[in-house]
This record gives sequence, structure tokens and C-alpha cells, in this order.
Amino acid sequence: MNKNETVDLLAPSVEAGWRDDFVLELRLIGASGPVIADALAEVEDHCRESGQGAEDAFGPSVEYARALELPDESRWTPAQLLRTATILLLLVFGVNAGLAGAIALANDRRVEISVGLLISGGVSLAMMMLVFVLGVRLLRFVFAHPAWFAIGFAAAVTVVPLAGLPFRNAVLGSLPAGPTLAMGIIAVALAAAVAAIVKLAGKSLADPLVPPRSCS
Amino acid sequence: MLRVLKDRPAHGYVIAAELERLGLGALGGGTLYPILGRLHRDGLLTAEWTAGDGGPGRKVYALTDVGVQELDVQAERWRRFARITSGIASPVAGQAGEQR
Repeated sequence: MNKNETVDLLAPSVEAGWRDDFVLELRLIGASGPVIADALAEVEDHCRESGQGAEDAFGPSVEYARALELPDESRWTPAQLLRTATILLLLVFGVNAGLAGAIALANDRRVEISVGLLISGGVSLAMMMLVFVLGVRLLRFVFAHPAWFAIGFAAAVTVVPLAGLPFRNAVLGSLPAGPTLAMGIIAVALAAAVAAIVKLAGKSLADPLVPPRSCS
Repeated sequence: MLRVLKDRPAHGYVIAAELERLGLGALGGGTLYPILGRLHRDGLLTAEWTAGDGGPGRKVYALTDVGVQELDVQAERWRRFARITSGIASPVAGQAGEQR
């Protein structure tokens, strides 16, 4: 079931625009999926019972979402952080090694491991982690200050390749092209496998709107 | 709200309808549910979903023991407030009462 189907099921009587804005605002506040579903189901119950639209009964969706004062549950646990860091590390290593290996193979050369390459890889890994760790807070910033976010994003995209540039000639050693390419492919495949296992174990970062369960 | 729930557990719309019937005016969902949420978080109410007839269920609120105690405290405060304000609003009647 996709997100829209879940929202349709939870609140079929509520105006689509109102409930989408409501869910988005609660996500930005950092409320968890089940808590959002609970709040939305209560709006549905009230609208169905009263025959009123959500806008008439509750006022503007964003104001109502804020008035609920739901707790920010968007902070990560150490285990979530470790799982995400592992997947990202494998991905960054795999993509960098795969690309470097493929280019070296095409040019019939060895892959040079420079300090610059390690710095660029480290910076891109740190930035990806930052995006995941900030999560909802970053999303909140994007909606509140889109222009500043655009400037920051452009700066980040520029910094990653440039960070290692001054050290590109500081070569630490070299690796054969074919095995480097193979290592890259294996690392990306491992990242995909770890992500799939995490998802199958029900520990993915997805936080769906779970309908409230009745006690009777 | 605590007083309405003292009689029996109820869901949000019933609470709003009862408050209106008692003469407190129409209470919008935007005011009602945030208050119910706070009372629930403060431990004065329980909130449980009950199954609906074929459709989505409804969230029924009920007073906890702490809620009953809080209702008693608040009711006594309101009675005192009402006595004081009645005396201020009708000083003659208040003085006549004191002379008797």
C-alpha cells in the first residue's frame, strides 16, 4: 500500500489538500508515523460525525498540526546510525572504487590512491551522513529557507570534489584496475544486500502511517 | 471536559456536543483535540480506539483516577470563584445575606 492509499484509507472524508498539508506539517514537526495516523484518524472521525469539512471544523491544517504539540521523535538511535553509516560507507567506497577502476581499465593504467581521493571520499561520506542524521530538521530548514538551502547545497556540491584537489598529487600507492573495479562492484552489491536485510528485518528508516488499533 | 467525562467515557465529537448543550458554545475541533491531547499526556485521561461499524474506529476518552482528583480540585476552585464574583457583582445581596 502506498502513502496516498494509506491516507485515503485513514481519512476518506477529509479534504485531500487539508490532510496532505496536515501530514506534511506533522512530519516536519518530527511526529512518528503511528502518531500522525492517530491524529488523522481522529480528524476523520470528527468530520464524519459532524458532517463538517476539516477546514471548517479544525481551521487551517498547519495551525492545527502545531496546536497538537506532538513530540519530536525524529532523533536517531545509535543502532540506526550504525546501520546507515555501514550502508553509506560501502556505497561511497564502491562507487569511488568502481569509477576509478573503470577509468583506469579503459586507459590501461593502475588506480592511484592519493590523499586527495581519500579526503574527497571522507567529505562526501560525512555530508551524506549529515543529510540522514539531520533528516526532519534539514527538511524543516528546506521549507523555511529554500534560498539558503539552495546556496548551501550548491556550496556542498562544489566542496566535495574540490576538498581533495590540493592533495591529488600526494600518491600513497596504486592498485590494479581490474580488481579495484571488482571491489567497487562488490561493495555496491554488499550495500544493497545490507539495505535489503535491514528492510526485511523491519528496521528500515521508513516510518509509515500505521492506522490506530482498536482495543475492542 | 473533565466534568463531561465524569459521567461516561466519550469520543471528541460527543464531548463537544455535550459542552454546547451545557451552554458553553460550539467548540471547534481545532480547540477541542489539542486540549484532550494535553489532558491525556498529563495522565488525566485515557484514550483508546474502539472498532467502528465497518468504517474507521473512534478514539474514546475516559477519566483516570488522577483525572477524577483534578476534577474535584478544579470544581472547588470554580465554586469559590463563583462565590467571590457573585459577591462582587451583587454587593447588596451579599451584604443583606451577611446582616441576616
